[in-house]
Amino acid sequence: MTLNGLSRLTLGLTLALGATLCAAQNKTLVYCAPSDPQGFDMPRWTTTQTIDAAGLTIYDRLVEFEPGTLKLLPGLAEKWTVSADGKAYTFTIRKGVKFHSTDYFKPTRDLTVDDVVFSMERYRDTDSAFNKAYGVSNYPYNSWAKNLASVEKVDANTMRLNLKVADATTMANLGMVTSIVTSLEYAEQLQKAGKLANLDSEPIGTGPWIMRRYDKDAQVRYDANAQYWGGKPKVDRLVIQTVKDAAVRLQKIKVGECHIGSNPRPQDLATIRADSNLVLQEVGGLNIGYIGLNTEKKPFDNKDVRNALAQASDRKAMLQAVYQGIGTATSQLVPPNTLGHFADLKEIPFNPEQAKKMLAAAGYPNGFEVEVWAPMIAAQYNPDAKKTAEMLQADWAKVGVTVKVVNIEWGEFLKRVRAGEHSVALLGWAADIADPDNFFVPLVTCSRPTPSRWCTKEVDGLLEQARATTNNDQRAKLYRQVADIVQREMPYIPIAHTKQYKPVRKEVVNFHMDPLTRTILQQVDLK
Amino acid sequence: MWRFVLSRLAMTVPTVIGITVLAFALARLLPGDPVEVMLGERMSDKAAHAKMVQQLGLDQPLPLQYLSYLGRLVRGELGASLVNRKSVVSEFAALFPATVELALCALLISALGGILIGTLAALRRGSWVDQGLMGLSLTGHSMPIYWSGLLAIMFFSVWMRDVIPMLALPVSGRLAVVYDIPARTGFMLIDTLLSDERGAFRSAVSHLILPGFVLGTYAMAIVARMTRSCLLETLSLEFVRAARARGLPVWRVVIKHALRNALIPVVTVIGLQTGGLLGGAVLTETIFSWPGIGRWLVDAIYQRDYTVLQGGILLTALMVIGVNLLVDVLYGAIDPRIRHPRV
Repeated sequence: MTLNGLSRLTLGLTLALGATLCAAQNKTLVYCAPSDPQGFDMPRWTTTQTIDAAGLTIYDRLVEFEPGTLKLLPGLAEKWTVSADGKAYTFTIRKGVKFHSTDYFKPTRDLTVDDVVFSMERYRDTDSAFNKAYGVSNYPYNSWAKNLASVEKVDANTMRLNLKVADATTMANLGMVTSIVTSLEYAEQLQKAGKLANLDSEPIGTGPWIMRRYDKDAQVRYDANAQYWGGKPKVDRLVIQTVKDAAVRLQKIKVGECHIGSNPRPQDLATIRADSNLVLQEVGGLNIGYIGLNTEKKPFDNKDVRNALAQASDRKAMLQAVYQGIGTATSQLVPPNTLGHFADLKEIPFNPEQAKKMLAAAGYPNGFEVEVWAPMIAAQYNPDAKKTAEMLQADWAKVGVTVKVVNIEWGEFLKRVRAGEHSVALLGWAADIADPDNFFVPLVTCSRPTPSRWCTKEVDGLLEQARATTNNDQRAKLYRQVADIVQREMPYIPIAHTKQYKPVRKEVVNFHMDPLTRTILQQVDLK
Repeated sequence: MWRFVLSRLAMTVPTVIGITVLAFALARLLPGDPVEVMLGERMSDKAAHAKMVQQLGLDQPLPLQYLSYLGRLVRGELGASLVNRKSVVSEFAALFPATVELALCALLISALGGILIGTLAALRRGSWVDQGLMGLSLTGHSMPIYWSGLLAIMFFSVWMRDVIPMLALPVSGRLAVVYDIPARTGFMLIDTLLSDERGAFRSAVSHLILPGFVLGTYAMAIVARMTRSCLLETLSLEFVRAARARGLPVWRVVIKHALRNALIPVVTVIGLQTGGLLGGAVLTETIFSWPGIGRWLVDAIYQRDYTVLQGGILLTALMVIGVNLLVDVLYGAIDPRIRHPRV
């Protein structure tokens, strides 16, 4: 029997429709990341790639930052209250949340308060078996948990975190990507089998994506979690591919092998903008690149010298030559659109003549010699530290300061700067949460070694007061005082806050850059 | 023959011991320490830093650390990564097949291409063909891989996609993302053949072409030059003149008689290249996102992951030693003069 024309047409249309439906039903989103995730037990790690591959895909937290903003929304906690003294946080846990079902774990129940208590306890209790699962201190990035006095199950739906001292950054810390909730049932299964360390390679969460397979240095594959409490992702599969070279990532997205790229080189931004198949998205990053002055070494123990050198540094020129348009000039440590940034804080002028006078008045009319250390790393807050150092060399020579540029390998650089061996070091900081405390504490506190070795009891006291209140207006006033003091004392010469960029194929919809530089893919669709 | 093999094996023992010392010492000569790199800009307090150093066993005196390392080696353990605590052996096993696959492909291209180019050049000695071919192969050897690799991608993947889409090759990776093939052996060509996903094998082959070619052209020049000079030498021998005088066709004289003799030293060169390729083609792996041993070891250097460096270097060295041993044996099998002591 042969097919007549109408039958052939019908068959052809049916096949085409079937193919379209199949394609629609098996949409695969590909994100090209610059490196592999370090692991999958999120609190152990902090690289952006691990955050993208584990923290935001596999897990949820009690609270979540709204995508694209810095506002906190309910996550696994439907609602919460804070006691009047700021030391007790009570959470009502969401019902009906399902843990992932995989080859290595089949959950027998939904998320309960016990899972949340367990998750918080493993951050608090450094003697817990899960802290020792990997043979080293496992959770250095949830150091906020040191302030947890106890974690309490109130009833079947409610749990409470009791703090040692009031800390206004607690909610932001709970929204931090490392503050994940994982399954007690799974943890007990692993503990029984003597395989606790598998938390890092065979993760179980409640997040929008279920990890199916990890091929080291190649890819991580996920299926969409159809039972996700926040709504099933729009695509069926996600693949995060590791593509280490930035030039290759660009070629992959140009030909459509990736839908979303990452970390483009500054010199490629124009090419991406010119490509009609691509859209370049950008957002201001939570970071600061700075020139760190070791105040324990002469002449940087003199604030007039520090201020003079700040005025001798042509930071606008650095923005052009080093940052090539990806940085925004700054005179303060905290980036814009964050509490703790003050638009009316005075700018540091570029005035070599004035700088020379200040140096003379400080007792250095003929300048001095100094080493400027530049690490061999392209950091998000400074894409070319060596070039920055060379520009400083030229700028400071005009005021009589002779600079020797020393380019040091990253590991050695960190070790020696931590030991305080440097005089001037080019470094920076990328915050974990959008809170000024996460900028000031690592940089200007007495509680830990900092690159500038500068701190005062006054600033520590102001920071402590700011942590103790949840009133943002009050906090802003306190941080303003800190910002004024820091600028007056100038332990760091701020250079720039950098923007973060991602090239995106035009067929991608609902993807938006996030100020916390998270890559959130749950709502992303492909047309 | 067995005596020959055993004597070669015995010679590898001091080599392996030397490598354990070298790998241990070189790793620790690197400035900085793993804890510093792990913590990064965080600059944790001294107590936390010291605790992590102690937990990783890095506070022990170096001789003790080395003895502990040797003790684990004797028990067949290579330890766990200082950074992610995963077994060095399991990480090596996961990455090794990709390196072997790429190395074999590059080796095939360099061997076949090099022998062909060298033969043609020898037969057209002194002509523009000879000079052109030698110049071309030298260009391939001289071009840095991070440049030739990117050029290859731009031409064969990006430009070709617009001009002749059917001939366009993938930019990087081992397989198109639409195929979800579990790693049964780790060799993508085999795993895709074993799977029931249509088109997966073809995708695996197409992903192997560019990185294999880029890596292979580097070694091709050496093979070509060696083939040319060895063949020229063989073609000048009397038995070749005798064969031609008997009226044998040129192709038969060259391929069946001359080339077979000329290839003996070429086999050694190819074997030496194999060792280098298996050691990890870092730049190729980086450009083409090929998950191999080379990139893994370089990352370990940056992270000061001593255990991975020690174990990875040792395993790689064992592979290279094994390949060189095989070449020696093969050489002895081809040329009986090698395996018999001189009278």
